[in-house]
Amino acid sequence: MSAKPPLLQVSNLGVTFRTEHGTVRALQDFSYELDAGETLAIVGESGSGKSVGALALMRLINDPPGRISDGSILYEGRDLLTLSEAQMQQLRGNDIAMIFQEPMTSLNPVLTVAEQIGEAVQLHQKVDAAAARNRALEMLQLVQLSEPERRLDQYPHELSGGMCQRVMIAMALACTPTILVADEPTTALDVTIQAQILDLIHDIKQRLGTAILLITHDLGVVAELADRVLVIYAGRKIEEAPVRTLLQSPRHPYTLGLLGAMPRLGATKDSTRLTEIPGIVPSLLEPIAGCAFAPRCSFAVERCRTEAPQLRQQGDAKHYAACWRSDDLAQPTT
Amino acid sequence: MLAFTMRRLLATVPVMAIVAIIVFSLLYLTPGDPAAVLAGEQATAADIERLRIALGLDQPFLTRFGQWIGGVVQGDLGTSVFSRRPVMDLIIQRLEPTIALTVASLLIAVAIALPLGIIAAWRSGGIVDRVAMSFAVLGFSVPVFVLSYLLIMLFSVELKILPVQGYVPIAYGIGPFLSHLILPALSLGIVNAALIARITRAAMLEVLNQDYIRVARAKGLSVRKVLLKHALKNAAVPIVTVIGISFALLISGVVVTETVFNIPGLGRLTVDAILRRDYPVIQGVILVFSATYVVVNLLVDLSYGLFDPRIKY
Repeated sequence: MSAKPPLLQVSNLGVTFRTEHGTVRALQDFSYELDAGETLAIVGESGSGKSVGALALMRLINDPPGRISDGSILYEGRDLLTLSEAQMQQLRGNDIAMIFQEPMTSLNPVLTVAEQIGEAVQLHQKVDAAAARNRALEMLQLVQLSEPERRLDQYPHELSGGMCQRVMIAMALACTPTILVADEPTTALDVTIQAQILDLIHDIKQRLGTAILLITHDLGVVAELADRVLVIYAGRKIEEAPVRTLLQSPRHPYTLGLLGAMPRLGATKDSTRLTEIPGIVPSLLEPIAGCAFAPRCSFAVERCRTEAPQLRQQGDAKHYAACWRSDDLAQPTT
Repeated sequence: MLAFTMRRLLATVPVMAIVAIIVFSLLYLTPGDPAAVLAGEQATAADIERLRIALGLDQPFLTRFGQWIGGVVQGDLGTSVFSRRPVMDLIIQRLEPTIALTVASLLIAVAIALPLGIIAAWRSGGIVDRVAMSFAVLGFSVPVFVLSYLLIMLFSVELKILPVQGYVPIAYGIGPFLSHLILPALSLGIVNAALIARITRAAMLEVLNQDYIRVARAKGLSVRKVLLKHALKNAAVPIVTVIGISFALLISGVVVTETVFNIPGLGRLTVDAILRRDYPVIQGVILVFSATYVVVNLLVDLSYGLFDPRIKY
């Protein structure tokens, strides 16, 4: 732990959604820290609350139906949850920027690339249209888009998915934010383009020193980019560790399950069959008595169903897991 | 774009030809003998016959259609049976009040409907939305003439701040011109505002659910900018279309409104001509209305390309 306070400190964040069936606790008691220049991956399956966590950080959860019910988000010493909407607008896109999952639908179809990149620059850096356009060109060169001059006046429908994601990244980085929130940045792209975009994010991270909050369900992406990993299940953090520790010795059966479901290159057909995690994510409408993962867990014992495990420090100093049997998992399993 | 415009202009020729045929056939399809109406109560059968020959009504249909259409393409819409004056002159004389009324109504409609529809969509399910949409249903269900009389009751009879009826040409001063125009334009505008507001809300609601709206918010843009720059331009095509459609409603509304407010425009000319069975005038006015509507539709079609770069001609 460094003596300096972290760039971002999220504590006990809770987000609820009102639905016609009742209140859904999408995120509970969610805490994490992000240091400058660090890449933290938030991993979980669909519906686990990982995207809600990202939107909550930007204060972009639609209210109603969503609401940030508890916690604090300290960014450079200020609690974002106490800021006014106008103050948040100054921060969004300028200090904290975000890229989204669907590049094709995330760009406005009726505005040119230059307009879409330039407007944030004009807004936050108070420059004129010509300077914003220059900045847009610079950014397109940074994200290695082919023929950047020509792209400026093109519309999204004239670009491919991979090009759109490059434009999105250029747009997010145009005001040199300290934090980039990347919500499944490669999920909607085909494999070769995925690799290119990952390389690009990696390159940008090295060059600009931007801290990245990477939201994904893809542990391959995590292995490639992340410094630390946080695993989320049913709206709660269940494990957190540096990336190598997590990939090599997970201490939560859910993480183990995620790793088992990940294909590996070079594995023979017999030695490593992909395993799936049985069942589905539980409903978050009612409070869950024990561990939320217990019904799907092959390690579950009686205690797991009655008493919710708290996060506990594991062997490694920065390794936390919320499982009653995490010590048993530490033994090499077959 | 130019080629498309030319093609669309050419395509209006058959449309207008069909309109012309239907308009001219009206004389045959409607009961009643214009010669008998003109000749008056005391006329003998011989008088009526003489008048019929004088008006050319004894000629076969095609001959008369040929004569009429030949005049129309040269800008001659024939002569009024009643006043014996060229129809074209009558129309030009009545043009100003009608143009003033339609333009003012459309401006009022758009000025009310766009903000209302946008706010209703942004705060859908909220109080503004519910009030605005109740207003829209109400505005659309109340007939124009009922609304006109209600407005006259309130502003002219009770509050006495606006004239009851009549029209003052713009040449006689902006003040009297506007004070006479406000009520008719308002009653006609509100009905159209209701329609435009509903479509604006629906179009905006769909756009506001798109990913790029959240992206625009994530850039730090204000709600106002997100709505007006990112959302409205995407919702523009259905909105402009409905404004074009509402123009057709305006034309029929003009006939009623001009009668209620005693405005000497094309609408009144139409009503008077129908009452007197003045067929050349009826034909001429309908032809002008149809041509206007065709032109408005053409403009609407051409405007799509301005809003959406994906639409190519």
